[in-house]
Amino acid sequence: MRIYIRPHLLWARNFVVFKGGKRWTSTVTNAYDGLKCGVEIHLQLDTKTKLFSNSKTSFQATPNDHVSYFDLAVPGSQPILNKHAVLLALKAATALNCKIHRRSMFDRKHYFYADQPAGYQITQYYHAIATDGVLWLRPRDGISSGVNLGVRISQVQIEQDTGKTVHEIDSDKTYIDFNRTNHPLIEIVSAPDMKTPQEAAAFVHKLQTLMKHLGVSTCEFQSGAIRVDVNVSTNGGKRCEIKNLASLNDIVHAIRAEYVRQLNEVSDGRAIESVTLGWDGHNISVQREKEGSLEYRYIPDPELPSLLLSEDLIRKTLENQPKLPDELIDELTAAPHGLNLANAQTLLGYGLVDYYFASYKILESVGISGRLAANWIVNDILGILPVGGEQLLPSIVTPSRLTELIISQKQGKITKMVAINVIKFFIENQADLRPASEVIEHYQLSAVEDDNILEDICSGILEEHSDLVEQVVSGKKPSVIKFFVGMVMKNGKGRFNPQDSEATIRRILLAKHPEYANNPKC
Amino acid sequence: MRIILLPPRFANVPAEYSRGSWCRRRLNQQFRRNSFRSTTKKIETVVELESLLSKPTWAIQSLLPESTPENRHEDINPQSLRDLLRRSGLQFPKDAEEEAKMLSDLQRQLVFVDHVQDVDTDGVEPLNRIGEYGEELQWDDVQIEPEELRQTVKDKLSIREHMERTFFYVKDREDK
Repeated sequence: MRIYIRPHLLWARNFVVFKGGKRWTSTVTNAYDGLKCGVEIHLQLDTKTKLFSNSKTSFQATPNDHVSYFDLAVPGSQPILNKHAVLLALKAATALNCKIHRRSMFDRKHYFYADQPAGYQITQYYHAIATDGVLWLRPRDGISSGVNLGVRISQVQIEQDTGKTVHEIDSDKTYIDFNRTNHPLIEIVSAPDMKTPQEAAAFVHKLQTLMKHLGVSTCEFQSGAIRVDVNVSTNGGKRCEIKNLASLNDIVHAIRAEYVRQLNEVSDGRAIESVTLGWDGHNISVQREKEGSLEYRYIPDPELPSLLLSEDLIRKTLENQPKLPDELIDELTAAPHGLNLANAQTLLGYGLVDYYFASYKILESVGISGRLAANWIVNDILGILPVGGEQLLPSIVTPSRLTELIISQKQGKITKMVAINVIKFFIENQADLRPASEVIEHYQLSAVEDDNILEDICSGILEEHSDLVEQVVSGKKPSVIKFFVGMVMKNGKGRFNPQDSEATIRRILLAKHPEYANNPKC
Repeated sequence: MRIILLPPRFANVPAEYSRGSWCRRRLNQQFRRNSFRSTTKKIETVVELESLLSKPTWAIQSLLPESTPENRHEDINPQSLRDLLRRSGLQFPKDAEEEAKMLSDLQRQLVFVDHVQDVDTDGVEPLNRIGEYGEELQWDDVQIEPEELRQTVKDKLSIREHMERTFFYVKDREDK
């Protein structure tokens, strides 16, 4: 491997790597010159029943527990459209600023595969429900260019999902689970407006945030709710498709590898062919020739009427659109909230923005800084929740309960540790609907003002750990005092203020070991 | 392959003409002549009606001639035949004789298709489905989720008999 460095170029990618006799990095200052990528995203809609039959949608249920005759393509079964799925598709398309077509059609895409018993997939090829939208990426979304990037959305179409095939070793059979067949999907196709892998990943991430916020899809890679295929072309050549990328990292690495592969092909004198590739985490490999649309013999599905949307429906979808993530983050990061970007994104990601706003209002009305609610939620509460607990949060630890605790802590009535324990108590005892003050009263958790008890506890701790006392006093390990403070909090069951505890400990140490005064207090 | 994919447009699209041939032009003239004749005479009595209906003025066989050098499609060859059969999930011909029959049938069918595509569809909106126009979806229609089906195919013994544990299966083939 040879690396050539060009010191006269100061910005990124100013070195050229030759590996295995081939140029391995690009030569120009822009690392991805000539690269164009477009993304095709399949999102599973968050509905209870399937798209053309009313068996239940599921994930990781017992195989074939939720399969109806239509899913299995039993002759004579017919499709009946799930109208709620259309609403979710409309919400997605509206948020992407698409033109909604009042009339769209369902088409059949024919190909043979074991997980598709009908021999065709019902999709929207000729007339999709929405076309010509745009999703704006800003620098804060993770793109490196300083300006906003508008990624055009070619179309949004509704289609069916396929089943799952399971291969077992040492078996001559392929096993099929049809639970996932006919699950509603929307396919979002973007124009090739992205010029670097990071932009492609940022686009996918932004789409995930948006769709999750709208309740259109859970958008998780692990459950397969989102599947991403990327089309890559270099210097105006033919585009190649990389299928089934399983995470944002995979997207970045796979596009980079494909870019390098295409440059190598060209520099070897070969023309780039339209192929389908796979990414296994490390390498990009050619899987098959890319099929043309003629292979699929698209025809309008004769069993389904055209999808007709009323003007009223389209208008009301737009009117009922909640505030979108960009607007919410703008609001949270500006005055009067002034949260930092990470906290704002966390609140948004967990769907707790309204919860925060409600708590903010209550706190401000009693003259306490409302931002504290955000700090408490992000820094203290989210960490102690069980998985999925954030959905319960607004109803269990209601804004009034939360603000009661914050106000009490601010006024010194309880310590923060006690407040967090009360929140844990609320989560574990959901049937208990008492307000925070009653709980504090009941369990006698309010801060103890009695200095004598504190003094006794501190002395006890210091006697118990006399060996460590020596370290603090001599200045070898001043931070051991924090350990003492922790022990005091534990023994006092959190009813003593950490500041008071520390002050008391220092006072006792000073009294007993005068030389402590000489050491720098940390 | 001259199979033209005509998308069913809501707007109008003129039908593309395939290669002309003297045979088709003759047939067209004959067709027009026949239709012209049948629309000029006004039927007034039941006897006239019965006499008109007793003899066919046109037969579909006229659109399915043996393929002649003039209207033969050159891109129908054994390779493209196999392509078509593969995509349709049909079996390949067993021997040369069956293959020759399939090829000649295909040629004849394409002559028919050519005639269909020659029809002037200017100003005619494509019909995708009989009884096409359904109802417009309203806001209230889309709010509620449909009720879940309580039954599954496994409940039927005749289907369960074909499953292994809880899976359906296909045997892997050599050429997969």
